[in-house]
Order: sequence, then C-alpha cells, then structure tokens
Amino acid sequence: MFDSPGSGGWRRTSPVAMVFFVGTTARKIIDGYGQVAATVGVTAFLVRNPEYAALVITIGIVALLTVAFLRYWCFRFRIDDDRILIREGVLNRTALDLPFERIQGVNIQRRLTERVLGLVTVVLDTAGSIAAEGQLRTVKPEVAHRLLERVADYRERHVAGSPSMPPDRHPDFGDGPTALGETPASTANRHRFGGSGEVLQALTPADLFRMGLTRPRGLFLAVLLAVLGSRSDRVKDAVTNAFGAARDTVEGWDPISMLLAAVGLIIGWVIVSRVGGVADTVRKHHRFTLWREGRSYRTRAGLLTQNETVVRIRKIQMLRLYQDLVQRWFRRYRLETPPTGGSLDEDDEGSKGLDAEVLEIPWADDALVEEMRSDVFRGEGEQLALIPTDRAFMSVSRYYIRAAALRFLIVGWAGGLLVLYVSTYLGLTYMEWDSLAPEGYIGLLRGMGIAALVWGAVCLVTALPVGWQRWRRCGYVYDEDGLAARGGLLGYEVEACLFRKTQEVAVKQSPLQRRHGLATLSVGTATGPVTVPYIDDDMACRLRDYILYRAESSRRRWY
Amino acid sequence: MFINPEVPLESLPSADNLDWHALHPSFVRRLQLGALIRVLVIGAIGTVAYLLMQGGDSEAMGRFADWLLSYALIAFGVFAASILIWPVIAVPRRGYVVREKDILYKTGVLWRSVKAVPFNRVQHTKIDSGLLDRRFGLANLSVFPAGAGGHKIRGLGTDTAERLRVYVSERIEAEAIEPADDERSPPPDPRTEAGAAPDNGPVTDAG
Repeated sequence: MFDSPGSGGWRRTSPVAMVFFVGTTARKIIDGYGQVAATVGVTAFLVRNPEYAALVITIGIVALLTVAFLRYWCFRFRIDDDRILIREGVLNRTALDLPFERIQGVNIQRRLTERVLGLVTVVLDTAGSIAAEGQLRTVKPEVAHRLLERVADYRERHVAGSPSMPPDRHPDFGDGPTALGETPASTANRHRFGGSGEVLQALTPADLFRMGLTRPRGLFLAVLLAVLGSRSDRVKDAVTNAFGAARDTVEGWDPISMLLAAVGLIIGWVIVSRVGGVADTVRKHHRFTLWREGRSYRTRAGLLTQNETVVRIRKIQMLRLYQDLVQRWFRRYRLETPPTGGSLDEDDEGSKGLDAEVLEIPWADDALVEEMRSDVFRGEGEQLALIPTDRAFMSVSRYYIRAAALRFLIVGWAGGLLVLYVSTYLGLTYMEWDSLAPEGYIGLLRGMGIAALVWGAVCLVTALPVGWQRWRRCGYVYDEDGLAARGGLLGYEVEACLFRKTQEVAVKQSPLQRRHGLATLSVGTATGPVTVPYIDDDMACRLRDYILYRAESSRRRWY
Repeated sequence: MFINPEVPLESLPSADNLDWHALHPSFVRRLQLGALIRVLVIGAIGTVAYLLMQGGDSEAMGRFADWLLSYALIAFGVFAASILIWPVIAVPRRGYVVREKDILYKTGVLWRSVKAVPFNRVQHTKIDSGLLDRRFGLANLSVFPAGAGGHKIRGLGTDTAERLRVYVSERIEAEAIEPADDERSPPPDPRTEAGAAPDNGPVTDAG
C-alpha cells in the first residue's frame, strides 16, 4: 500500500551552502543575544566615557535614518488585476506574490501619526498561512481603496455567489462616527465611497463606560512595578520608608479602624483599577462600529490607533462567546469570530509573522448574538444555542464536580504557592537577604511550609463549591450540523462550531472517567477546540464517528 | 431533486475495536536512553549546585544545603526511577491506525486519548529524526491539519514513517476538496457522496 520513494534521486546542494548555513546560524545568535549585548556594551561604554555620548547618539540617529531610508526605498508594491506584488528588503530581498484568491481579509490600521498625516496601514490576511502575510505601511487611503476594489472585482468575477466587499462598499477613512440608530442609508451618506454596508452595532460612550467596568486594569501594572522596583535601590528605599511611615501611623489604631482602613484601601484599589479599565476600553474601542457588507463583517475602533478588521463570514470557523459577572448584569456578551489561522502566531517552521486578525464584538446583546449566529451558520446548526442561559444546553455527568474540584485544589494550591514565593522573594529583596539570621533560611522555609498548609486547607474547603459551580456552568448541545459547549465559573464561555469545519476529533479519558464510563470529547477546528467534558463514553465515541463522517464526506470548503 | 435522507448512526464506521499498529520495538530503549541522559545532566547540575552552596562564604547557606540534600536525593531517586521505567509502561499503550479517510493515534496510560485526523483536512506532513532516533533506526511522523494540533507519531521505524508519509500525501491529494465555492449550495447527499456511511475500513498493511 505504501510506496517507498527509495534512496535514489536525492541530490545535495553546492558545498557553498555551508556559507549560507554559517550565516543563518550566526544571524540567529545575533538576533537572540547580539542586540542585547550591543545595547549593554554601548551603555557601558557611555557610562565609562560620557564625553563620547553626543557622538554615539549622533551616529545612532544617522544609522537609524539611513536604515529607514533604505527600507523605504527598497519597499515597492504593485496592485495587478488578480494579485498584489510586494518587493522589500535591503540586504535580503523578499518578493511576495499574493493572489487575491488567497486574501481572506483586508484590514486597515490607523495609528495616531497616520491619522494626523491622513495615511493608513493595510494588513492582508491570507487563507494559506497562519499569520497575516502582507503589510503596506503608511499608504494613502486611495491605495487601500484601489486594493479593496480590485479584490472585490476579482471575487465578483471568479467566485460565484460571493458578493463580499462590492466595490461600492468601502471603509470611511475619515474619523466621522456612525451613530447608534442611524439607518443604513444615513450611514452610507457618511461613507466616502457611498458604502451601503448595514451597521449592526455602534457603541456609545455609555456602552464604553459600562464595558470598562468589566475590564479591571491595574494588578498587572502593580506586579510589574514591584518587580522593576526591586531592582532599584532608590525605589526600595522609598517603599521601605512608605511602609515604615504607614506602620507608625496605624500603630496606635484599634482593630476596627484598621479594618475600615483595609476596606477603604481595597475599595480604592477597585475604583482605580476600574477607572483604568474604562480608560483602556476607550483607547481600544472608541467609536466601535460593526458592519455587515455582503458576506463580510467589518469592525472599526480605536482612539489613538484605529483598527479596521474585515473577515469574510465563510472563513469563520467557530463562534466564541464570553460573559463575566458585570456583563451578566448588563446582559451583554463579548463575541469573537476568529477566522482561519487566527489562533496561532507562529507557523510550523517557527517563523513569527503578523497576527492574523480576530473579529471581536466586545459588547453584543442577545439579538446581535442570535443574528450573527444565524448569519455565520447560515442554515446549518439551527438547534445550536449560543446564549448561555438557553435551556437547550444539556448537563454533563455529576462526576465532573469531583474532577473540577480536584483541579481547583491542585491548580489553586500551586498558584497560591507561586504567589507566596514571589511575594516572599520581593519582600526579602526589599528587606535585604543579609538581614536574615544564620537560621533564617530554614525558619523561612518552615514558615512558608506552614503557609502552604494553611492555603491548602482553604483550597480544600472551597474546592467542592467551585467544582459544583463549574458543573452548573458546564453544558453542551448538538444537532446534525454542529456542536456548542458551555463552561465557566462565575461567568460563561460558549463555543460553537460546525462539524464540516472539523480538523480533528479526540476522545479522552482520565482514570476517573474510565471507572464511570465517561469521556471528554474534543472537536478541533482551525481556531481552537470545542470541548465537552464528562459525557457518556459511548455517546462521545458515537459523536466522534458521526463528526468524522460529516467532515470526511463534506465536499464544501471548510475555509 | 435535492434529497437529504437520515443517516443511521449505527451504520457509521466505528473507531472502536480497531486493529492498532504498535510502535517500533526499539522505541522503549530509545526513550530510556534519552531519560538516562536527562538524569545524568540533572544529577550533574544538582551536584555542582550543592558544591557551590557548600563552598560559599555563607555558613547559613552551607547548613541549608546539608538540610536539603537528603530530601533532594529522595526526590531525585524517585524522578530518575520513574522516567526510566515509564517508557516500558507507556509505549505499548500507544498505537496508530490508518484508514481510507483518516488516521488515528492513541496515547496515554492514565489519561488516554484517541485522536482522528481526516485526510481531507491535512495541510502537510513532516518526518523528523533526532540523533538518538537515528541511532535506533526511528523517525517521527507529524500530520498537520490547519490550526489544530494534529498527530506527532513518535517511534516509527524509518521505513514505516516514510511509507506512511507517502501514503498520507497521496490521500491528501485524493481527498482534496474541489467544491463549488458557493456557500449556499445544499449539504451533500450522503448516498451519492459517501454512501450511507463513508467507506472507512482500516488499511491493514500500514505496518
């Protein structure tokens, strides 16, 4: 059955290839360590010889400008009727020949400087690669317009029944907002090219404020500052003095006052982090608008850098929906529709590329979720639920409670230990290690051991409620076309996909599952798996066989 | 006329009760040799760390190293024994089956998994073989679908891996989708495209 190609016919390249391999290896080393070494070396040189600072800085600026000019000069592109050609590189020349057939998304970005200068960056996503392949930086909007027009023309001519991105539907590169409640016609009037794309959603400032409340920011910043601060003596002194002053202040306080102060601190921290969340939300989602243009979705948002993402609906592999506690309060969801290849940022050769765009609708309501579900699945998966509270979701086995509790116990305990270790390390860094007595290390280790035991007891007590809550959240629903799985702890996560877009199917069993005739079904798509844990083993196997049948017998494109 | 009859689930080919092909018999020894090298390297690093802690200026650090030594030795012994014995248990529980339309791979001792990748989803395949693999005449076959993890079947004989790669490549060609691009075309008729159930019997001479 298998034909071996045999050992004949294989040839080696020229021995000169050794030079190439030496160069490749050297470049990898330079890429990895050379830049850091050069930066450290130059800094050390300047610290020892400050009189050369002006000369070094001047040389650096001239070198940067020269490289920038050469890269600009060597970068050329041409838009043909059926492809875009890009030539770039100063020493290593790269020639990219990108047929329109492979382009699955033309995304427009506008950074602050580009907005000031009236320019845009065009990012091209392709179906055949995991990352975005081509990028046209700082081009005039007319160029982007022409490219979109050519791609749309090509699709109209070559792809039957794919009317996405018709030439009269193009983004408005101006800053004019599309207000909520505008009719498609009135929206079209505000588009430079007279586009008639249907506005599905436009977020208001009130929406952004509510969204910001769901995105606390600050903890990461605090940890980062603490780690960086531990490297600086001046910061350490300041923090030590601040702690000392705080300790002197609260020394005479009664317990109730201290408790109130602690509560006040926590409330203050929550407020600060939520304010940070609102600011971050405004930065990212300012004037967020979602359009449907033919068989594509387009979003545009951003305060400083304005991102415009276009995803063809056919390319969407799965729908992901998230809802945290605050979003539940407002009955809103975050919906993601990752296109083909949007989940990875490294291809199998290990080369990094630009991240392919993921379409994100950050503040969708029930109606929009349902509309997009029926739009994306289009006649298939009619029984699939995406709204997490839908009664169609079936529960998984109650044995999942035990597994979830055990996982929480182990992960929570290990995570707590990590936090304990990091905080102890930071604390000792501020205190100075040398201040420990000779027996201090052993004493410290014992103390950490006791703390680990106490934290383990806390995890033990809370594990069962957590497991039960996870079981309540967990559910699944399937029909003849697809599968949707629900999960979460306090909020919800729902993922749904069509069987014909399946890339792989796995049935997994832990020892506990085997003992009780259960299994976990994992349906892999090009943008991640949809997993249903703790269902009947027999059902998991039958579903696997059916999904394989659907994937293997489908003659329709999955991408 | 478009017809869309129901497909009885019982008629679908089952991925259970298949005749799994075992991995190459040398694979256990190859894993054990790799584990032994890891044990030696970790042991050497631990020894150097202990000597540095003992030889340092800090008396407290030296006493701490002594206190830690017995625990570290026990942990190291358990670790070394487990990774040397584990291949004997794990390798016989791995296996693969090549069928007409997909390739299945099973792994796991405690946590077991059976994963299937349809050929019409495979993007490309790869064979790799490290220094130790070549010493034992082994190679690893990777099968990549888009985005998902795919298979990495380790411990195949070199010849088997190459023949499998060629076969999978042929199946990719044979299963290549040449559809009308129209999304609105009706779903396929199971009777005309794949029969009531796809012919997906195992390929018995895969080994």
